[in-house]
Amino acid sequence: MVWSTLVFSDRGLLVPTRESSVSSLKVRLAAALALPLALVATACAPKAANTAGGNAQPSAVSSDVASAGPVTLKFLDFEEGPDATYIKKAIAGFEQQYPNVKIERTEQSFDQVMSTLNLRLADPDGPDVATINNGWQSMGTLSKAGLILNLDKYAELYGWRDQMSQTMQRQLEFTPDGTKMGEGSLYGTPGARLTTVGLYYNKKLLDEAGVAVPTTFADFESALAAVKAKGETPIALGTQEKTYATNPLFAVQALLGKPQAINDFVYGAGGTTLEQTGLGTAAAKLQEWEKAGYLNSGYNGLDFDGGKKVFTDGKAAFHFDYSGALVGTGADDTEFGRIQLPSTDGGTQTSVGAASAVFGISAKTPHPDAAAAFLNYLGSQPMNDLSVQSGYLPIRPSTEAVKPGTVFADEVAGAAAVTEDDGFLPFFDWASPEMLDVIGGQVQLILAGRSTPETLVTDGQKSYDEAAAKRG
Amino acid sequence: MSTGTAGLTTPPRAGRGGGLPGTQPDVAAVRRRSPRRRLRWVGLLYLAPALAMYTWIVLVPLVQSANYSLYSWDGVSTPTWVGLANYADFVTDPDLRAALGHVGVLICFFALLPIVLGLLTASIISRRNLRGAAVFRSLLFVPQVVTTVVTAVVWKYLYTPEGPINSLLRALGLGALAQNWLGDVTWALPALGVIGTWVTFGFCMILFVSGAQSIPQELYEAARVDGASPLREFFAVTLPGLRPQLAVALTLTITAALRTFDLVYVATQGGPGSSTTTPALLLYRKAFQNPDVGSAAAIAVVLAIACLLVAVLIQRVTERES
Repeated sequence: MVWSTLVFSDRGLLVPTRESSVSSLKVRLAAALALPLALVATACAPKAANTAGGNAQPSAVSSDVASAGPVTLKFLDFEEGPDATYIKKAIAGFEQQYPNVKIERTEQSFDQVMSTLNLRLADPDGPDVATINNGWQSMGTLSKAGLILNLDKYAELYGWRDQMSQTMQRQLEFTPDGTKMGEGSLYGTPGARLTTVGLYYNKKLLDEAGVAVPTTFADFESALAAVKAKGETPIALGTQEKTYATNPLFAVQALLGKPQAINDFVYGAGGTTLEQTGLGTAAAKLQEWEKAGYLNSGYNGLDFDGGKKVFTDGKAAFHFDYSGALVGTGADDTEFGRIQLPSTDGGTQTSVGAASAVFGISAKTPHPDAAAAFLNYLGSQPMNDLSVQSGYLPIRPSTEAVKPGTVFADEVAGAAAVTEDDGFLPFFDWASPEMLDVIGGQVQLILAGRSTPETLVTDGQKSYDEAAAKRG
Repeated sequence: MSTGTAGLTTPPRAGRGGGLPGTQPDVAAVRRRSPRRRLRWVGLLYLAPALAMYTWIVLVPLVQSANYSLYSWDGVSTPTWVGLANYADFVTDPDLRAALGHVGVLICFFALLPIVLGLLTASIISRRNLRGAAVFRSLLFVPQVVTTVVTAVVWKYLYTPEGPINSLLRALGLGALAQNWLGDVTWALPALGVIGTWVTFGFCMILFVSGAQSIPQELYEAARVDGASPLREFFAVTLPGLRPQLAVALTLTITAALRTFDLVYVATQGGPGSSTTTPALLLYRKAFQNPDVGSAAAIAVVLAIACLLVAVLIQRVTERES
């Protein structure tokens, strides 16, 4: 902008005649611009995108899509790489079932979709169906603004709630007035893929250190010490990106924290402080491991994939990651395993876990019925089976065969154990829009010895309180 | 571009034909002036397409942003009027204050260092005909052509713990100096700054080399006849002769530093902690991630005004001196 201003004034813009002084020209120009600018100023005051708010939904719903005639649904998603292969197969299956519906897919990175979704859904020509993110930042804002449909009527029509566990339903709920998360109406569906945060291990390195596969947190810590004593690196991490620096912290919090407190805090049930969730305890544990030299050298200069590579190259015994971490890395999936550890608070199986993508319907779509049918298909049993075939955790139990002795077999068994205890925890950063940034930054600083778990707790609580005050 | 049109900021006070208060313009003068007046409107007409474009692309969003900055707004729901509260963040928000401090450091790396280095190289290159000077010049200019995102990705690799820079240091026996450059709280910001220096250095140098070519050779000869040392020659002849180029280089590099976003976004996301955040990064975060469009707009407005001030200030100073 400044560049053009310079050129603008430099060239003298209108070559002034001798009589007309430059300053009088400026006055005229200002006068000429003032009127349109004043008009613009009054016309462009910010306004709400949809006055319906959280109650945006069609008056009548129908599952009869076949008789609707030719329909094209615009679908925006963040499924890249191997994930894209999965979603393409899903779309092909849907189009085969409903030949009159065509899905027009746009694929972009997670960050790109998340940073533009609000504006795109406010546009009448925007996507009909889109991947959204749980939490206040995405789903909370969109539901409150009435940019995504309240799906209660479709949920009843298709029986979606019966297909989901209580914890899963809670992750997709907001009150229509936009003040509460974890109760109220459904604004998204979880598709058929689950993502959990968990602990991977290298079978050979554990063997060499002479330790058995840990079954409790205490086991895990003594295994770390044994690996270290052997001269190997216990844990591989890459914390250079703030977003992913939170990953090991959330994984440890799920094991050391209080599951009930974590749920209550994230969903704002009231009366629970961040202190009580065990986030500070988990941060102190990470710090302790850092000081004991358990982390790979240079972890703070590596991005998340860099840290993963240290692990898949066989240079570290343990690694925290999202499920499906080894899909597409070329690593031999029989050399590695995944451990599901019980919570140290009560001994139930707990893990951070959520739908890997949430699907929502634009409030501006002309084809809500077709869009809902698409969402229904994405969460159907054949899609859950396709998840398993593709090496991803399904949301609903699937009878598809899983090759024993692989990482994937461990992942499936772990998820089943957590489902059994209904122990899935929400991602902690859903609690407030800035939480991911605050916590990610603090993890980096704590590991660098520049901050303390206490500061993390104080700063996180502050972000949480500010966001809550803003919602009113 | 030239910066020589001094008339803009100091308009001639005398000789406003007929415009002085209290003097009645005579009819003949009016008649004499009318064709010129028409000419002026014709001038505006020529300008109209560009002006319309400028209004649409720059001025309208500017006014819009200024307007948004007075609201608390998530971008989609009903906004609340908050007056100047979003601007108060510049005083009360420690993150924002830290970001402003980081910009100060980046200005040293983006503007001052490249200009000093550029002047040095330019004076060496232009003093005598070096073999392969053209190749040298082109090579140093290449970073200016490369997209910032590509630059950031490449440097991110160079800076990795086992990357080329640390390997080189170890090979030279300087292993003690090896760092996790972008992951270290102390080193991340200077490490980003060095990337900026690398990018803008070539640009400054090219600017100064071409500027130096337009300095009359006689001045150098005269200086030499007077027995001036190379250093004296630089300060007495080269530096004053390059004043317009210096103004351009300073304006562009300082505003670039003020607006730094892509480099930081790709290389560090503002981390570790908040050690490399810039106002533009916070703007992006508030506008698209948080979402808090009002305070994002406030940052945008302050950045725009800061850039404008820098540009005007530099122009004034260089004009006064010339």
